[in-house]
Amino acid sequence: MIEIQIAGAGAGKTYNLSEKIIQFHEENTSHKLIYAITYTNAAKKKINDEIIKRLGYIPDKVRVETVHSFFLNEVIYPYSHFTISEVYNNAVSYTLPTVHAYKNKKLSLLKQKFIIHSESVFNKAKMIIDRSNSKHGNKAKKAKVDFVNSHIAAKISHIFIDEAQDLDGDALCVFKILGENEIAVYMIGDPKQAIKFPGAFRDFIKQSTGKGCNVLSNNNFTKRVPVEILKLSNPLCLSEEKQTNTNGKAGRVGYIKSSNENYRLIIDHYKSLGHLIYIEEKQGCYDTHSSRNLFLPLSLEEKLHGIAVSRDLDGRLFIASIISEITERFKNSSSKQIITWLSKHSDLRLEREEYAELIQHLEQVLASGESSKFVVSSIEAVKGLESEVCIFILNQTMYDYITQNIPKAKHHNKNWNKAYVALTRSCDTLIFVLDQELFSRNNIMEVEGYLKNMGIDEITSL
Amino acid sequence: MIVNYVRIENYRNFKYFETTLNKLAIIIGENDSGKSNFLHALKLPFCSSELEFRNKNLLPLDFNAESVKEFYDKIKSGAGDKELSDSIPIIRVTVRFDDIGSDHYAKAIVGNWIKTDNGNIVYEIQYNYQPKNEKDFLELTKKLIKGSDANKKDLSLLIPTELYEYSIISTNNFKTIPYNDLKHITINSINAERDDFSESSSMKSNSILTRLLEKKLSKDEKAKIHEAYFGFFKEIKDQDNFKKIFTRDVEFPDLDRFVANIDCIPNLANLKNILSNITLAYGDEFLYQKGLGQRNIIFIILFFQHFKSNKSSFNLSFIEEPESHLSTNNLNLVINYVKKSVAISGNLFQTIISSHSPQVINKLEFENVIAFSSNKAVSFNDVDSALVKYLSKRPNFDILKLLFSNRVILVEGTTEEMFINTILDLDKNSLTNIDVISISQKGYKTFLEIWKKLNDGNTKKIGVIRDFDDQPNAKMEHDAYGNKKTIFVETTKGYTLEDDIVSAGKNCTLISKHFGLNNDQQTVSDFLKSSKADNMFDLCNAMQDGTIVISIPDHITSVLKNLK
Repeated sequence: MIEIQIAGAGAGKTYNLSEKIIQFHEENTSHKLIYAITYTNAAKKKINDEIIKRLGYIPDKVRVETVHSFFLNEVIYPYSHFTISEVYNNAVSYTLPTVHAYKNKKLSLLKQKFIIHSESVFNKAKMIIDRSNSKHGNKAKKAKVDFVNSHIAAKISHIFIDEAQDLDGDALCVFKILGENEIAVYMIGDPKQAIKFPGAFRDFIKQSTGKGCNVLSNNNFTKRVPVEILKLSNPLCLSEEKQTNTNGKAGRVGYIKSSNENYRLIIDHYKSLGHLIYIEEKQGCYDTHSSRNLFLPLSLEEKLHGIAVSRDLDGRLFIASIISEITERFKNSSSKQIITWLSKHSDLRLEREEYAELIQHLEQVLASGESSKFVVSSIEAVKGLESEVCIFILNQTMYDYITQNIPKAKHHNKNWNKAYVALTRSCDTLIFVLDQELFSRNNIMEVEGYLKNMGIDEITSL
Repeated sequence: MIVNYVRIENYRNFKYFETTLNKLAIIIGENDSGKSNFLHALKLPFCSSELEFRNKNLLPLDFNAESVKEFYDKIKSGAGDKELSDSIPIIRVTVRFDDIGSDHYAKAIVGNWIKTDNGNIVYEIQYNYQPKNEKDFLELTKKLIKGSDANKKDLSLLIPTELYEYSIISTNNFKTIPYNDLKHITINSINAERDDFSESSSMKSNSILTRLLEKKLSKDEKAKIHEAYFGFFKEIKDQDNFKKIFTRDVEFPDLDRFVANIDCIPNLANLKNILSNITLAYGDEFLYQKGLGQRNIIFIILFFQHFKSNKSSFNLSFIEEPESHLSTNNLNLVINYVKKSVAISGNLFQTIISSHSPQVINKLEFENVIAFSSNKAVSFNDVDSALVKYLSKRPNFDILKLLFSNRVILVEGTTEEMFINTILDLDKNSLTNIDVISISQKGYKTFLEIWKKLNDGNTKKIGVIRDFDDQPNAKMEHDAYGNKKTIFVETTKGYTLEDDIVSAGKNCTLISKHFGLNNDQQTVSDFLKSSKADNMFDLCNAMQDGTIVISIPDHITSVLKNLK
């Protein structure tokens, strides 16, 4: 059984989800588990917090996990050997090389060590439980798949999926198959916020006809997005998904210019208060948090892992401690000095290529750290979050989409959805930032003109 | 759901040992054959029992001596690291589950451990005890062996177990099984050294019983016990003289503030402590005052009762020697209790019993027996069901003697048994250790088959003395079992043993004279055969007190000679 619910930004998905979970938990007399699945750890925490708020604890039989964790622990690790003769007992998620040949080489090296990469998780999970997959070519193999499904159904009674729009076709298919095999599957998501896989959830809903599949009517109420902001976000919604505010808050929208003499102070001020500040992607004098992350080359991580084990330390903690120490040392050491320290501290012997790779990366991070750039969030990073005041740094692309100055073919694509997400984060005030550097076609004055026309004024007092 | 296969590698006396198991498995074996070690090994991959904490880190002496010696010999011979790596002593206990059926709960418990083995679906987990880092281990052991003599007996003590770590993994992906999953499979045992009642000077209740009690009490009951305890303590405090300890000293009012703060608080606040200070009563007396046998029965009943009804996890119960200290009546009771409990128990319960009692074995059905011998396990699962029924109706049949005796002779019946035992008795020249067993109408072949299965390859010997009964084909079939080394089959020349006795040497004359019969073979032979065993009995008595000296028939002499 599969039930699908579309709910727009601020509809209270997490609250409703946890309510349903608690309801089924109380009715559940068997040993079976109830799973609540999300995409990110932050979202996982949200559901955990909500359940604790209402029950005071997380019951034994209720498990809150990310999709990857669920697929890995309930499908891939136990059953990949049985159905597709591949063994996995661990997963990694660092960035793979982009060059196809290197990437494949890396993946096969990982496979030899029984490690699966997180980007293969959705696909692998589908391969294992989809009896129509070509890997299960004969009756006996299909019988194995059925057998595995019977095991999963013996263990799990309900699966609740939050943020279903972040799943790709494969992952959605996995949940569909689970739903067809006696597990009660509830999916809730917002196709308008599908940034990773823009069309996947919508397509899935369209294909979900037939018995056992129930698409509920849309929840277009929003507790968060105030009326004034809805005026901007609703034009981006399909007619059947336009939202209405339930708490009557008006909210306000305004803009500031980066040429303002107090600009940096303003940004720092709101950042310190914990409000969301975001931009489509790293551009101009804006860096996103992710582009500043320090990570170590894979072979180095493996070496450090081995060293940790020989010292009786936990591998991951050891690597994390090294990364945090390097970050500290950036304040007063050069890359060379950092590498010297690293070799000494962890008895590490670096090969030539490793040394080169590491020093290049450290230089990069060092350079970005020294710059006077603003460090803000990317839109993708703030999806699912909210704050009272949100500062949306406009660029050409986002402006084009908000003004719908784009060909029909590009409607409802990734950027369209990014724009929707960016507009709907605030529960009170939305402030646009106009920075000429980020606009390749339009002049800032044109943009100002458009905004003033919409009734959006420059904010002078902050 | 049951554990249907166990494999033990490099643990104590087991270098490589595997066995199958049933829902009720009866383990037999001579002393020192590893029955207790089997139990200890089996405990390793399972969750630490709710009743006892188990240390899963092993000691140097837990390693199989042979595997340690092989490893050190390789080091001494200067083998390369790759070769050494393959022979590092690693202790493994592998366990498979089967009979899951369609029970969702059982499926949920074992599901993650599914794999195929030779085309069959199995659910397998494994306990491993191995060095954390091979390189470091090899480095250190090479150093250690350098300065020592490889012919030392206790080489195992040189194993640096501080470099070892244990893990319990699912063998389909080598992933460690998290506690949340492992806690659903448990093993509990009643050891051969039952209780410490007689040892314990405080005569407190046995600790396992304490924990059983703890489990049974509801939250309300526990709260009431606590309340009662504190109430009891309060009453003590309220005694006048008790209070007087803390009075103020009128001459030193400054001390008042100290005295005011002193108070008595109850010790033993922990429920476990309260309960373990309870001693069990039995009737009007204390349980510890009752005999070992009595305590044993109660112990077994309580234990079994508690675990067979557990619905939340799979439970493997291992009872060592249930017959310990039990009188005949109580033994019957316990055997019956076990048999019927197993029959009605649910899907999550399995029992293993180790025993030295033929009654236990015969009544709980021979097909459940697994015999440990020379480091291998022989299952009698596929034994002829007619034999199983025979044994269950003859609980006193000494099946253990047949299987384990160093020298055993099978004979047709009581008369043969008496005759041969008399002969053995009369042999003044050598001490015999030959057991004579009469198989009363059951075919020799079945017994020979099971004897062969168990003793193939060891030095035990079996002799068969059978009657011709005018069946040449049967004789041929039985003769085929003889192997001139450990199995010796002899048949009478005449119809039965009595005929051969009568026709041997001067026996006919001697016997007819002694009993006042006609001196012809037919009469004497009929005489011996008639009135069941009475006449043979008389003959044996006469032989024993020297009144008659009988010549022994050839076929018997042959068997006896071969068995020496």
